Amino acid sequence: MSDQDLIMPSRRAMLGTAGRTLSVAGIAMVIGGCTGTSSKASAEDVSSDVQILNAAIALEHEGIAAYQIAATSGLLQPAVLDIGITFQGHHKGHRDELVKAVEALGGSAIEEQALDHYAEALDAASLANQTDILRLALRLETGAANAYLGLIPSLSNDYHQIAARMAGDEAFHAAILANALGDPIPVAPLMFG
Amino acid sequence: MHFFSALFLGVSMAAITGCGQSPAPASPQESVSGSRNGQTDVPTPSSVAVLIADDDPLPETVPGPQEVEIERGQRLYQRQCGACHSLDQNRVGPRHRGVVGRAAGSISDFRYSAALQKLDLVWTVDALEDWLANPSAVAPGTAMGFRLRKREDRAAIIAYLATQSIPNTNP
Repeated sequence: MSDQDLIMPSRRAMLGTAGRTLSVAGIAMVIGGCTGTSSKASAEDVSSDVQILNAAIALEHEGIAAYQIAATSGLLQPAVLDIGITFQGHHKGHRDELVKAVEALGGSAIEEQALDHYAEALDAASLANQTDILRLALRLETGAANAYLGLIPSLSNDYHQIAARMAGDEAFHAAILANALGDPIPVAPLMFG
Repeated sequence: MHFFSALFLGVSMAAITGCGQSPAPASPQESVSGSRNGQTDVPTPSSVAVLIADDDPLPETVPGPQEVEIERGQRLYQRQCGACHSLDQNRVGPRHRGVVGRAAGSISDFRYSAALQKLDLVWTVDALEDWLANPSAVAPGTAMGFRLRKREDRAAIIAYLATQSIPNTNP
């Protein structure tokens, strides 16, 4: 698909389309909320939560960097750039929530690495046009939604809901990006997890 | 699977995948498993033999069950593991090329959690199956909280990873 083929409806239209696709994360949030009765966690559980939440912070660091690389690439149309910056803001919000959670557990949040590290890890040099960037972003957001859903069983109950809420945001991003790329709406339900 | 069953499956798949490439319908004489006199023929081993005798080779592009499983594993790997891992770059998690048969915690330029550093384990197919089902049970305190629920998805991803070996650079 060329850049000219990209479907870029208005933000309102895109949000309207994506808003109908978030049932999985919504269900996960309900489940997380229902089972989220707090109990005194063991030191082992706390340590495990800190490790897992820190991995999520590392994931958010990479996502923030990916949107930064995209935003400064000069390859994005203004409307796409605007959406990308908004999404990057969401990832910064995720990072901040996760950092608060780690610190509340008595842990130290993992620091971000240099932008060059992420550029190499994501093979940014291979990104030649807007479609390449959107494909990368879609891959990362889809993976992130699945990652958050997949780590819920390993987290203590208190953190199920925050992970599910993150998954909801990532699924929202993925839906917008897939729409922009003109990808068909998945036919089968339970698209994530 | 019996030989003829396998052969019939392959020929049927070839017929299906070949539909778009052969718009002209087969003549009654050429038809082996088509409709004659309003009745659908049931392919038999002998009719398959006619196909072979007519020198109608199977397309080389029809993947076998193992290839299908590996392709499914590749798609799953990208969707389920791709947020944190890739084959050739350390990201949130270590790079995966060559992981099957590798010792746990052995990528020298990746910073592992303490749990992985002290884990004495080789990533066999069975070990990876346990790991993907519940990493914390294999290495308590690991940073990898992600669990893959479905056994068949774990198997497909592991089958894919097993094909992604490190190229031999020796002349």
